[in-house]
Amino acid sequence: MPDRDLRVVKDIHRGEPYEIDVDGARVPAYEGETIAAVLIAAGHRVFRRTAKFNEPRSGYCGMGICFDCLVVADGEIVRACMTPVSRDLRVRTLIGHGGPAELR
Amino acid sequence: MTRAELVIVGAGPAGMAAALEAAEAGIRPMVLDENLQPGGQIYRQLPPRFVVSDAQSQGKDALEGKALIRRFLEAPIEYRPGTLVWGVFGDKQLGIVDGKTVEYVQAECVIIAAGAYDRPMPIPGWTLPGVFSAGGAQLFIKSQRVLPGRRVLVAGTGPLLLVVATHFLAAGVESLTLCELSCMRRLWRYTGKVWGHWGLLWDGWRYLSRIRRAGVRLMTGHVVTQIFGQDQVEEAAIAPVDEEGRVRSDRKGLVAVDAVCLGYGLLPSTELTRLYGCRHNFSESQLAWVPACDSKMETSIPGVFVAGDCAGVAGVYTAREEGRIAALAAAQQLGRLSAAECQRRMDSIHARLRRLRRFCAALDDIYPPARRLVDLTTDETIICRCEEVRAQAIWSAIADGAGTPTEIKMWTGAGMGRCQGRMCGPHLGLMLARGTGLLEPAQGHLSVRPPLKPIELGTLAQRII
Amino acid sequence: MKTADVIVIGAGVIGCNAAYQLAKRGMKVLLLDRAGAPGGTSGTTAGHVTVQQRAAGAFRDLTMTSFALMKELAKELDTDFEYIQTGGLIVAENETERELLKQFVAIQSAHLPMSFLEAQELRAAEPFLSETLVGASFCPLDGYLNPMLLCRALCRGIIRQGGTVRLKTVVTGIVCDQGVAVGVATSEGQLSSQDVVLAAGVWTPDLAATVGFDLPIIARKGQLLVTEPVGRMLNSLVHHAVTIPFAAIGIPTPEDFSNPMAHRRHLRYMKQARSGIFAGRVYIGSTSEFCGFDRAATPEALSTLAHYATEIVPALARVRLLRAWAGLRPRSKDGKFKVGRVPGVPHLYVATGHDSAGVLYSAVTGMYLAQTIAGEQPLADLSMFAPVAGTQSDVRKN
Repeated sequence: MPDRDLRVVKDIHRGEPYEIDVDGARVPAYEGETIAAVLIAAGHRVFRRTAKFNEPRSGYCGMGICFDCLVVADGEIVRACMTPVSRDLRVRTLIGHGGPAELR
Repeated sequence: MTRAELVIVGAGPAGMAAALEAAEAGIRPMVLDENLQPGGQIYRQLPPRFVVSDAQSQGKDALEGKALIRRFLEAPIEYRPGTLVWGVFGDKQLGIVDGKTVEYVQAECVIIAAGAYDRPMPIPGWTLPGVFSAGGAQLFIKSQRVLPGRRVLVAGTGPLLLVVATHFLAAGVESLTLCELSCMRRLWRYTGKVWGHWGLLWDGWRYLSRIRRAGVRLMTGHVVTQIFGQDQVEEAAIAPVDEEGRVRSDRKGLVAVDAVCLGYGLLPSTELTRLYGCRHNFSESQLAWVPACDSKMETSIPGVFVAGDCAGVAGVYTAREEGRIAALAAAQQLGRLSAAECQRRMDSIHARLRRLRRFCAALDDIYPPARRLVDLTTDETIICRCEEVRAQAIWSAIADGAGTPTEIKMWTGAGMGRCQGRMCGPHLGLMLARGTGLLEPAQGHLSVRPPLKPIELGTLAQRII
Repeated sequence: MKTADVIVIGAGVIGCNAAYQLAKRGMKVLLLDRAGAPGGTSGTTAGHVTVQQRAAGAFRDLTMTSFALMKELAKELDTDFEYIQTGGLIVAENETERELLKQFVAIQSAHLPMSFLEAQELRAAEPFLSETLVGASFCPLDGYLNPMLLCRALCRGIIRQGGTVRLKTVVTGIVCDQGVAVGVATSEGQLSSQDVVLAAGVWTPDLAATVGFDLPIIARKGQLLVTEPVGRMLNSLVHHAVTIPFAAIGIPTPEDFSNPMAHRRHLRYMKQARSGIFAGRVYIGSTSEFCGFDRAATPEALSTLAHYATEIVPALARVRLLRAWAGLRPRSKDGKFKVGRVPGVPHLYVATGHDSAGVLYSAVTGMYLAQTIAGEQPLADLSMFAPVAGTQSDVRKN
């Protein structure tokens, strides 16, 4: 794991390792991790940019109630903290409300 | 339409304890939980494929949680994970959704064990990536084994701050600053109230010792006033608070951090009880709306019970006992227990609950949530995160005559986002109280409409009645 | 010493408009509402301001007058109420409807800017609309506003003009002296005035009954859905062919013309808010139910409206519902809203029954009432909408 990876290594064995695609870059992930955990571990801080003021947002509550951690995963807008990763999942930063590409 | 004698909403400690008690009374309850695994927040489990090398290192809560979960999963109950309760229709017809399928369940009795969530504390910069609620940070560490950052500030008030700090220490961080609002003098003054609750006092002492030994910078009587950064957290400003609770901004200092965890206590999750139309009271000591219920945990709506933190934040042990009370009361209503037998089983639980509640009330005194916290909000601070409504717009609506949270919602859009006002509702109440002098009981609470969380139209469309 | 010159009961779009126009004319106005905020039913509606479907005649003239007044208000009031003319589409789902729409456009073009869109043109203008739609009429004048903000803006205007808005005040009845209205009774005592205006929507009949007047208005519940904000999917308002009063326009409909009751298309519409605080959200309406004052969302309506939405805009299947709610529209039993003096009770006026055209006619209704009370020549002739003395119980003398 890279030096900056924020995963805790002490006393824990993770599930199967994979890679997911985040805005075109390959990012390491483990089976069972949520998209939010993978992004935070990789130092990918900005999950989305808001519609009105184009401000950066990420996870806040960690339990699926604040809806700030929205990302586009395989074309669908989801809560990153409530969505487990899958092999080769395509994750994109959500810009504003999203565009037609996310809807088709 | 599916029918169920007893539906329990939430598979955290209260929901699981209720389910086990109901099963013992011969009921097969339907337990619905949005998460994919049971445990709620405090007993949140690691993903299935993760293995801990040293089970004992996980801590008391985790071990107790595992034991309860094991019993829960082996019990003769209908447990439906990944299932959200989003609506209530008629008397006890619950709208639920499980992935891509909507279903309606007609229940005879309902126990709502929806838990609690971190009180949102809007300060300038709180929406920056790298800012988490204390509970959120803890979840990432506990149940995903990911650190929110390496140079961390944990700020707020309450015993949970100590817990979160020790999780960070155990996981390994470069630096940790702990910023507690209550000053040391106040903390000592109230220690007498918790004298006698030896088990819980010992836990508190252990956490504090661990923190002190680890060289954590512990600042009492201080509050974080602003968070800075371009696209993520880079710095935070901390200032002392005087005896009257006023922030001394003239004496603030900056700390370089990459994560800030805000912990200002917990709020009961009352979306479902409010949607249901249960009567709620505003607790000044908890500064939160709480569903009114009797000693059997029954709300103002017959056959609808509450248990656990959603009935008033009081910790995991209280939650488990309340779950049992609610299940016994439901069992009696469903004719499974005689009134006498129900009372007999409840008596010993009630005795335990009385002790637990005394301790919690004491904690409320030591760590009172303060109305003054609204002073930390500047005009530019985002109050409604979903709709990006700044404090200025809300003060303007209040000046215009808005006297209820719902009015503010209609005029500014605050509370109209995906989170249904969970993040901004409580603060709207504080701002209204400050601006109009009317406290929450006179304001009423934010209106709730179905669905409690957004549901795909395609999913709803499938179900044509 | 009277409390006010005019007391207006009901701070919805009708009451707020009336109170504002009265205040502008120098009258001491008191606007009352039992809720903690202005809006009432108005706040639960989609806020449509449309002209396209109106047949030439009284309703169209009123619509155009109301249009012009709405635009003046947008300039005059100091708070934005997000009025936007996005243009409106009326869509055809089969050949019969398509042919009828073509004739409709031909006739309406004489008075309004209109165009007919063939299927390909419709697809180009609105790529997210279902391919099952075979054509549409389009009028650039149609649009909508935010009714909550309109009420708020009007209330600010009322106060600026020297009037008073008192919320959380329950009016329990009209006070009369020898058969003449002299004020109202509230939960906090009596208030006196020269004139009283009843603009309380579905709650008006109860108030009218306190003076023995039977107002034939019933509550029609309409449920609506609104989605989470999403990227742009719809540019214009969308209505359906069966909402057009073809007979009134002089277009005969064939025997096999779709029976609106079968699929309720006459009740359905969609739009996506272009700007303002609700930007990006798609609104889907509506149902029509008669169940008294109940305003609960129902599972049937949720699935029916969701299904309708995905039929017309298939991509909506993946968009999430954010809120479902309902409003009670005041429907007049004879189809004509009631505005004017209450027969037999001098100084008492009523203004309600606009059904789903409340926002549309609010400006002209408010202006008409204000001019009537102030003794001015009204800008529009609303005599056909005057309430009529029907079966009356004993007029109470308070």
